[in-house]
Amino acid sequence: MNFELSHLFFAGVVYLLLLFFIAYATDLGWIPERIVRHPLTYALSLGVYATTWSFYGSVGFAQSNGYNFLSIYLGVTLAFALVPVLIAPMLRLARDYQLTSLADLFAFRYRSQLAGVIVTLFMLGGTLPYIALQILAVTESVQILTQEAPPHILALGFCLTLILFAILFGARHITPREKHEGLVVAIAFESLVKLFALCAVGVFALFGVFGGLGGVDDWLAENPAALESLYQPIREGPWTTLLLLSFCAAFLLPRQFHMTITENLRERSLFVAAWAFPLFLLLLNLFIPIILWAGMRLQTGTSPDFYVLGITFASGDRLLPALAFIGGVSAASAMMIVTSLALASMCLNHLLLPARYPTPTVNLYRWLLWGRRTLIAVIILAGYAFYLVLQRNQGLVQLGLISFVAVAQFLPGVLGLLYWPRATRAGFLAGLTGGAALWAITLLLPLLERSGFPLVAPDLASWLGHAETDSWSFATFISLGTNAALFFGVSLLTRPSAEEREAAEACLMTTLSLPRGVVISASSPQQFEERLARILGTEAAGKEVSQALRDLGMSAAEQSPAELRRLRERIERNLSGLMGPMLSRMIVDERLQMDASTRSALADNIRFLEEKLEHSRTRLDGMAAELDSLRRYHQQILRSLPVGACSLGPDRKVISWNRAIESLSGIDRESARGMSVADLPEPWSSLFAKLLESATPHLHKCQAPINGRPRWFNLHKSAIEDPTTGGEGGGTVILVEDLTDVQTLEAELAHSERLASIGRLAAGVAHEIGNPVTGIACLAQNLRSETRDQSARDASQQILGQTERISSIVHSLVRFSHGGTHTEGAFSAVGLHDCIDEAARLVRLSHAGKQMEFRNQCPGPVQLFGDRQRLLQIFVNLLSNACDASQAGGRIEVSALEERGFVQVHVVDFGSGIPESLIDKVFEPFVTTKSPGQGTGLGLHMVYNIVREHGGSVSVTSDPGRGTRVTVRLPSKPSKTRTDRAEKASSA
Amino acid sequence: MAPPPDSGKYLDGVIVVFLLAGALFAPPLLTSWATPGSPWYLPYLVWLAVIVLIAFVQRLRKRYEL
Repeated sequence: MNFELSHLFFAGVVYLLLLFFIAYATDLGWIPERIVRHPLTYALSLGVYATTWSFYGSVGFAQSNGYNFLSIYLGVTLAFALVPVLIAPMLRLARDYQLTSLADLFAFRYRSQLAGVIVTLFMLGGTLPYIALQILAVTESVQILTQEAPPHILALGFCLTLILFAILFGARHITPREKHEGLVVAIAFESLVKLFALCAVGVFALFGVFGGLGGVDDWLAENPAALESLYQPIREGPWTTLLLLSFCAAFLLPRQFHMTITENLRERSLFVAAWAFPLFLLLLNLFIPIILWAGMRLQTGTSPDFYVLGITFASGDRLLPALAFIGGVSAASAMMIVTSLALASMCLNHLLLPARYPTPTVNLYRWLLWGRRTLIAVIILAGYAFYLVLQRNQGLVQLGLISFVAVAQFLPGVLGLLYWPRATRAGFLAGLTGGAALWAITLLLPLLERSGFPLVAPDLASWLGHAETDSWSFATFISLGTNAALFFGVSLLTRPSAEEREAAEACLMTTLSLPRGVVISASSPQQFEERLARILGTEAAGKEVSQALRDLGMSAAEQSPAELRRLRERIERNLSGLMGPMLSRMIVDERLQMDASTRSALADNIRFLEEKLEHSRTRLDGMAAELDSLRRYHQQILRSLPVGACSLGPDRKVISWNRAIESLSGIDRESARGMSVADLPEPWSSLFAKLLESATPHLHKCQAPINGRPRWFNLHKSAIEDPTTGGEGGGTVILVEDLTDVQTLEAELAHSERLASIGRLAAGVAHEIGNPVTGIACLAQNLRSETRDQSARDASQQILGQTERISSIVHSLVRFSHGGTHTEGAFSAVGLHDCIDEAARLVRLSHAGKQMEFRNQCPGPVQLFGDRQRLLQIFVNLLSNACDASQAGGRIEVSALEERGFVQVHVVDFGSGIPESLIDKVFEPFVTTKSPGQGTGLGLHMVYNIVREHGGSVSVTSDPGRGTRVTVRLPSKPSKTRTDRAEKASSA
Repeated sequence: MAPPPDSGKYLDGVIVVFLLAGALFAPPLLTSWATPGSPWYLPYLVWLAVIVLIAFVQRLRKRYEL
């Protein structure tokens, strides 16, 4: 069964097109975000670790080195077990300082462009054999499937196709700083394809070749040497070396660093990947022994490196070999695409840009984009060139391991970066150079020698008496040991520069150095743009400044020195993502100079410290952790105070702003902090300024409009002692006490008192009127009985009628004025109709000129349960308001509806109505539609309170210009709780 | 006030799992379980056990909300 070369090429291209479609669909948002950002998608994307070495080479490695092949994955498992102490700190550092590669990280930490250059060159040299390995594996798999030697042009065609796709995946956009979600999803899909293909081959081997697990056991019983040959090499082979190498490779290989750190969308995903990624690797390797034994049993005739393909011919079907081939293409393409992207970024930042920076007239973004594209092509073609010069009989694993030993040389530097502030640039460069030289002597030169290059590699192992030691262990330990010894030794012999110390502190995140200095060469974002344009070009400078302003949520009109310093830092970090940390620092240092001697404002320092402490919470331990807990506790006390509290620095800038003042002012803490008192919105700016300038430490009952309504505050201030000197100068603390509720209560009380005194006056007047009226009534009665003149009798009858009317009015007045406090004992059944009549009679007295028409439509039998006087007060207020709103001679209707223990009373007028803006506030105190001096705004508030006391509710609807309807819902009978309470009160 | 989340327990767990896995995979202990008489899938079972331990420790991280 042979395949046509063109068919295989076509299948490969179709597969890559499918991958591109997935990436494109992700970028367009066709794939749901919950899938794109799912931690398992991220974990699968790390599967780029498994290349053709894993897909094809593991079987060959297992055949020659037994279970040693598993150490390549167990080391990764150990590295991911240390995610929180090894990988997460690197991720945070890279994210905070926009570092996109390991070379960026080293250049940033050791403050050395040379470090970036050496790391890049070494990474490039160490990775080319690995790229060559992928090309070799794909061409050999084609050879196996077509049974003929593929032309070199096929490998070149494969490389050119991958250049195209690598550019499409990772260098399509003009701004190369963005993360490539499409790439992450496509690589995760590739991992699934690899897993599915290898499992399909494994399942065929298990059931198609052995007939199930029983068959495997039988075969192993017949061939005990097969199992022994897996276990035996563990005792003799380079197990520990491989474990160490794969531990390093898990996060130091360019492709691993790129997917784990650079393309990470959420830090949380890393902690899921800690177990999910090793689990993926376990599943990928589960069938390797079965495939090996199936290959041995079938005698496929292929090299063990390609048993994965060889045994599929036994299936008699073309599908399985094609699937295995696609799996291999998938493994190779994922590795080559991601590696070329990662290396291109390094080469751009550390080789191309420092060597040939574009002039400001060139569009920087376009230049970077094309630079990156060119570098991708150059790197893949360099891998192809390496493939051409390689001797073909190199094992797949041998080529991969050369790269593993190369990247392991970065381990001392990374450990120094994360945990050793004493590490110096000289130590790092000495260690890396020494390690790289020994790597070249022990591994690279022998490889080239074996490939026919006219050179003689020195046999270092024999010279040092380690001829018996396996080559991998010797090369690893001699290079890494020398590297580490030089790194630590030279670091201890040299002193870190101030810059290095600053970078070390930033990497460790344990010490906090306060921000210092102000930008002196520019005083506004506009000037930032102008100054940067001379290096970046006008367009790029504009975009970078705008981006930094957006990131910080800062205004383009910002002029505060502290904020401009933050803007400068953000621009430096953003540029670092674009062109590396060293170049970005040089540009910013040159164009936006700082005066480091200027002292920062206290508010800025405290803000900086708090932000840093929040960020570094996980790293604090011992005494520092205890002190941090204490700080948080005090902070919480201040935050939770029920009165508004804020502190100001000596420069009158807000340092702290608690929750109560947030809710009083409507200004959130983040916006207020760092703001000067003069910049606070009104009325706070003038209130605070008045307090600060006042000779007394208190301002009482200050009225200020908040949201258009008056509010009352007591303000208190106190000077804060400077914690360092003990004298004044630490700023001011201000307390804001909201008195509005107390003020409302006082006003309500005064209003009630005023009403009560008027009531008492009315009662006195009524009493004084009552006596003469009684006299008049008696005289009229006498007149009526003593005269026979009909006209006189009629007149006396009318006098009697009028005196009765006067008496009725007087009784109403006396009853209304007979106020008193609300007591539950005063609750009784009250006839609604009579109550409304009485209220109308009282209202008529005060609105006599208007000649209002009151229509009391309440059914006679309807009764309310409550305090008669207070119920009367409700209806007097409502009818009085209705009269005020109506024209003279207007109509007011009162109707009622009884339902389930409650009565709904509707008071309807056809007057001016209530404006829409006030309708929701009419029951609040001091809200009135009347002209100043005409109403207090307390009437409806009182109605609301009385109705609530009765367990009812009140609502209002209004149609401005057409009238208002007030609906009062009151109980018609005592509620159970009220009855119980009344019974208890009476028994007591 | 409740004490802040104790990240120490989580980090202790991480180190313990790493040391345990390291010991299992390091030659002295490795040669005691990886013997030719062992079933072929034993290394995978040990590997799976280590992964389960890592996952368990990561659950602690969630509890301390780090």
